Amino acid sequence: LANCTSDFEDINTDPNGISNESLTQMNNHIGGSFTPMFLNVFNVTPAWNFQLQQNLLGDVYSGYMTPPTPFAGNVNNMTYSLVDGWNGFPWSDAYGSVMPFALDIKNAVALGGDASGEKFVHLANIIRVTAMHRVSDIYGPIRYTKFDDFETTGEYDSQSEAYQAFFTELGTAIDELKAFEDDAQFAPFDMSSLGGDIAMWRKFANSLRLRLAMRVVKVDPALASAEGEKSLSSDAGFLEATDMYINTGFAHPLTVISGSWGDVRMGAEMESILEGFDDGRKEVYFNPAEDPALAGAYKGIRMGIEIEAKGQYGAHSSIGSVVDSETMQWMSAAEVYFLRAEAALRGWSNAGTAQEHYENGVRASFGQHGVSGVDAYLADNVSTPNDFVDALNATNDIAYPSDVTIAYNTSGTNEEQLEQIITQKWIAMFPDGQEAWSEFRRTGYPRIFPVVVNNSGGTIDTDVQIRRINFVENEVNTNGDNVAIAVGYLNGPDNGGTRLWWDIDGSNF
Amino acid sequence: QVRTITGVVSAQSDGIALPGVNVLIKGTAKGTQTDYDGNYSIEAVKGDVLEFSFMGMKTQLITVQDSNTVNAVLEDDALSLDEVIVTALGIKKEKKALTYSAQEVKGDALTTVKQTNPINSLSGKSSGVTITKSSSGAGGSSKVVLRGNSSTTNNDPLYVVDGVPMLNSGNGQNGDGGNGIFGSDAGNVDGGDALSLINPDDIESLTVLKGASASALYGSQGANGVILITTKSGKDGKLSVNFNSSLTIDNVTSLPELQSEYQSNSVGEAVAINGNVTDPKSWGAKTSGLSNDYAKDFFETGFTSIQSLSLMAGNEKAQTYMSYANTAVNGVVPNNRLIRNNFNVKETASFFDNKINVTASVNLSDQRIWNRPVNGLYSNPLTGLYLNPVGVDLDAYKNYEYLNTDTNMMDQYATSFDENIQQNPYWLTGKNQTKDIAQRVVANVSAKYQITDNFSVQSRASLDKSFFTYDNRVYGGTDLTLSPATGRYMLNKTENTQQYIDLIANYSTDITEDFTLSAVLGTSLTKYKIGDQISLDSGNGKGLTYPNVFTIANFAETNNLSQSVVNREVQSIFASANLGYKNLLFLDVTGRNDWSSTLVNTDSHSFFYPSFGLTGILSEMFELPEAVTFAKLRASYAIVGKDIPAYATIPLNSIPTGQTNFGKPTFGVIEGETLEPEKQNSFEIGTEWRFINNRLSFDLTYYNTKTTNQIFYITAEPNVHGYVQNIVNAGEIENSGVELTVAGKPIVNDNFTWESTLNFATNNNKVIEVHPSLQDGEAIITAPGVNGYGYSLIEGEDFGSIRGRSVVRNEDGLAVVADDGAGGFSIQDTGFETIAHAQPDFTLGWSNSFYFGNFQVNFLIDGKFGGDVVSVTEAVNDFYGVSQATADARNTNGGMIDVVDVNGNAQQMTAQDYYLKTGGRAGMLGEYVYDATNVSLRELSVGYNLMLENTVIDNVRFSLIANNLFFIYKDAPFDPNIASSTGMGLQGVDIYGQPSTRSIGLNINVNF
Repeated sequence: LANCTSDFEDINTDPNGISNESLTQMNNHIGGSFTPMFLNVFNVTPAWNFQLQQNLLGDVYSGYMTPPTPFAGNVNNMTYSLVDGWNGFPWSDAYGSVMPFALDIKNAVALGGDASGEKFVHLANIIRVTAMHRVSDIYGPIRYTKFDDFETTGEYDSQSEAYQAFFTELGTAIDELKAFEDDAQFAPFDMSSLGGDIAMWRKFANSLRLRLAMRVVKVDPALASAEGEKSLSSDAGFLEATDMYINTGFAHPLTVISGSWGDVRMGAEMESILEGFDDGRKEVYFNPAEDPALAGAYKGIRMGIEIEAKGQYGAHSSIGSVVDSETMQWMSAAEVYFLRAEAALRGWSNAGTAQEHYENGVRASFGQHGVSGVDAYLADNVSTPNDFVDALNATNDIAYPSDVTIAYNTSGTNEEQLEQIITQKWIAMFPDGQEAWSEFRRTGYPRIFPVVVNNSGGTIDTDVQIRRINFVENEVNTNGDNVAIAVGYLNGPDNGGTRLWWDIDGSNF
Repeated sequence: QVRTITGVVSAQSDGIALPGVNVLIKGTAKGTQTDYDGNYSIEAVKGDVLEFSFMGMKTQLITVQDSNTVNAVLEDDALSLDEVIVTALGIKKEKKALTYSAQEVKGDALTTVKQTNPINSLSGKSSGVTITKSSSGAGGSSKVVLRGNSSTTNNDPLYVVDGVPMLNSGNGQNGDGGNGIFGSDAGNVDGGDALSLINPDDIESLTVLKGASASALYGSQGANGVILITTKSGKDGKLSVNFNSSLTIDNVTSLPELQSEYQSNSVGEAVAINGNVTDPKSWGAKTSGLSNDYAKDFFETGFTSIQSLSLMAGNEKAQTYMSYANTAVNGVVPNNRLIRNNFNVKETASFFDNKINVTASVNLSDQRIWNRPVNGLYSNPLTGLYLNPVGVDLDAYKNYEYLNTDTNMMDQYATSFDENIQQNPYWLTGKNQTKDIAQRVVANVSAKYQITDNFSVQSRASLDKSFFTYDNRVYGGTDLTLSPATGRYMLNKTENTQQYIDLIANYSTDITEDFTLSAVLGTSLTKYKIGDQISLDSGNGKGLTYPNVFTIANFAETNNLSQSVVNREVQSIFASANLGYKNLLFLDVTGRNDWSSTLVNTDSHSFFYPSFGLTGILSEMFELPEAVTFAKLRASYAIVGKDIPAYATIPLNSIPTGQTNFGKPTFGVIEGETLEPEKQNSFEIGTEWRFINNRLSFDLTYYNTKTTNQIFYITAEPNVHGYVQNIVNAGEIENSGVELTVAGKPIVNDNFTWESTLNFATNNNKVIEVHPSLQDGEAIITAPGVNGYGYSLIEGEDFGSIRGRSVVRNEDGLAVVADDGAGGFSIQDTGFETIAHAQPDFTLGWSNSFYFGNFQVNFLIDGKFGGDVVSVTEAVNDFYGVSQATADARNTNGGMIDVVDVNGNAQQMTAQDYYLKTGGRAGMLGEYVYDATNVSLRELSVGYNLMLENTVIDNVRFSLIANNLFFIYKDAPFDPNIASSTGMGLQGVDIYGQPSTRSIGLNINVNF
């Protein structure tokens, strides 16, 4: 009878699955592994996943957007009651759909034994760093350098170790990929606007290195300028004419969250700044409020206020045409100019002049969104952000605590110039709230309004504002010992009030 | 003319008069018993057949002739002492020789008060069986658990029909679905189970084999116990036709209490063109003259009609049984209908001097359900119904659509789409349409060759195939969270197939005068193809190209098409031996070895399951007081097990629905581990006593079951594969309990008989261990995610811990609050903790039958004691201010709730503020825990037998029947016997489930 069991292996193989052997056809074991990475650095579908990965975190804490919906009786992330059931998604998207695929690519290339496959490992590393620095900027310590080994995969790196690894991997990729600049093998798998052009990928990686270098400038100025100057002097160059975005094939999740669900609206800070600056990009970023009482104005909602029902603020400004295409922005050329402006302000070598980069940044952003009138805009040295007036409840009114202007003020203090740079970068990076939140935490700019309702039970100071997200439930449940070690890497308890490694209180200079 | 017949009954062996002999007029309930001197007296007419029965004697039939004296001499019959009972593999055994607990329920006990799913009729009629109906109304599946949950993967018992295991995979909840609190986009759909497709009138008897010992011969399939169903066959020399018609009227009970004192702030404000009001909640002013009868008005009076016709005919050589049944149900939810047709034919024949017996049967069923009720928060009409803003006239929304001039389409007219859980209930029941079709064919052939008197060989083959179609048309205008503006079309086609064949040799002999042996050796092969599904869904992205045209060619994208199937094959050999000594001591040994395809890539390719049992008939072994008619003691020990889920050992990449990329396997084995079959060690000891010639009997069992090597899907430990879950063998779950059945006939006399049976069961269920890698000994089955409900297995706790947050209270019971920085308070919560265990402490069923003259009255009281349930419905109703509880709170203490701040100072919150912060789907469900204890008058019937002489009609029986008549005691705001889902992860919680129904009706049974 036992002989009859010879077909058991066939029977027990899911006919609807795809084996790894099968994936070697058309090199999908390598190329196909890029697809999930492209679609999960920012999750693109289903929309609720993106909502939890990004929209109810960075998009809100950056002042970009606020839900009109009082989720969970208005006791939620917005009012600083951190919802563990939501906040695990940035983690699970990364560890389910980015890290393992990068490892697969590495393993497949090693198995193939073809040296030309190395380019795929470097490209995968660039994407991996893009994804994982965002995760690290949410939680702090992450599982990174020891991830690829079964024995150590559960162990965390401190954020400083992780950033060091990011720099190493980006540096190696930028250097090694030079030899592949004419190699077209990546083209069929590249879902980005870079079109499989390795030279362009070097520019993206080099720009990303500058972003990360600037991130650590307060905690480790030497490391920051060393890495930043590598970027500034690299032959790879920067993203200048091309924005980096992914052609996802899916509607931008924000169109669903804002349009179909009505679950997110313009943030109060966006209203203050765009309206105060009379910034033409507001018409691309947002739709006029549908509430007839607001007479077609661009009207935002302050984060962390009392909301009883979705209907109250539901007819405020929804997200505009900026998210209408099936693309997802990873990095805009404008952002890179602003990074270079700050580098110049900080006196890094080969950085050029701050004003020139600043103005190029604004021009790039206007150009990206097809908005006219950039010259007049850049010349405006009068307009300042508006004070925020809540449409329904005066207790939420708040003055904008700065008179920052648009025209670059070369005679201003370093802080004043930095505020201009970061404020414009903040406008330009929309709708990437995660990156905007990180830069706010690093620099304090633009001026994000504190919450009105604080349900954190004292763990998050209203004025200091939220600095990170606590470690995720699943990790605590399955990897408790390592999480305990990771908590030790923090500067304080595992809650939202503890600053990350690169987040140093005090002035920027 | 009625005469008084008298006589003496004596024993043939010694001629001594027999007291306590049952004397019954055959075919009626009319009977008496002999007195101490063996005398009896009974009213009868010429032609009546008197049936004399007595324990240990052959039953004798004597037809009344002209004489008024009828004496009977009963023969000893060792064999007839024993009721014969069908056991595992269809092997008939003497009941007295059984070494384990088996409880038989006769078919008529299931059909007196009929239910559309026959298994529901078992509730309260057998100890240790817990039946929970799903909340999806007629055609819904039921969760049946024998002796408590023991497994993390599947606790369904095995159903065996005429010796052949039945496929009970439904199309939906019984798989892995149905665990989400939201429900899927289309609502949680209950696909029904195969059992609900059986015609209850075809059931001759049903035997519940609860312990592992009883089912050890079924190996891996029988680990959760077995329910054996024997269907009716034609009988020799008998031609009879039976027609049965029952009609019941069904009404909802246990509706949530809704308030009609405080109106919504929307009242008096402008209504938008789409019907939307300004404030979907009901926290406005106190107003008189409000009504909230919309819920009562929404539900309709349903009816259930079951017509069945059966025909039996036969001679010595061949017998035929045929039946047809038609079930038609109009549900209590508008537009919910069910139509089911069952057709069954069974042919038995014997050849060559009865040496060869052949049975063949075909069973066909076809069930169509329109708009099957769903549960969960999404796409459920009951959310919009209960949450309707008080004071807003829902009648104005009965016309559920309006012409949207922008799109030139009919659009939904609704008060609100708040939280995406509210829609117009009439839109959901009137516009969106679902239809599910279940069709099933079971064909069986069995041949038995009696080679010699003590040796026979039997072979059975069966094909069990079911087809499910699920068609769901969601119109544009439905909430955009659930469907695109162009509409959404979902069409699933699923087939389940089971092929079974076995070969069994039976040998029985008297080894010596004292020793008897019966032995069985067999082999079987079963192939499964389950959930062979093609799922076509236009999805929630681009939807349909042309709005509301429901055909596959109109799909705007194909990212949501999928295929799935589960293949499995099990090959087995098994043997059993029953050794008897002097008919008073029996030893039972069984063994079975299974080779399962799912064990590929593990260390164990097969697994062996032994069982041992011993029974002693005390009443034969010892001289017992005369009052003791029968006494036995039994003990058994068994190891059974279960193979592992299909494909688990060969993880493959897949193309997930809704995605364009391939995905990694979502679960896998922990690095360095291998999977093993699940193992269950069980021990039971029991005793059975009958007194005063069966006037009183009891059956007591104690059992202890340890299930180890459980298959758990746990949150993955950190891994490099991207596994979300690990599949592991771990854990230990212990069940121990006592089952007691007491049956008696407290009153037996010429014109009145009372029979009563009490079933008691208690089960103590402990999770001893989960998996060492899990923190705090917690295995999460349903993570709370964005909601307030979680379900976990936690070491040291009962099986199935419902997790939720509770309000932190001070010693006076006041909620502790903290300043939220804006002049308000945030309520302190406990974090997620165990708030309830749904398992009852004990269950009690008490069934009674009274016979007087031609009348028969039956009632069944069914009680479950202990355990707690949670209501998400109440939490959400409170959040919206529609519950009576919120009106009561607003009526007391000036509408303020007394709370205390963290410094111990007295503070107050408005009821609105309080309920907004504690209620809702993500609220503090610890505040919504209710005692699950309930006692109900489950069944009541009053029947009258009309005996007709000399006509083609033998007798007619009329009965008034009622089901779920009322609760004698209930604490929960819903019927706790109804579960949101029969899946693993949604137990003991009500999420806008359909309320239970009370049925009252009439049954007519005619015998020709």
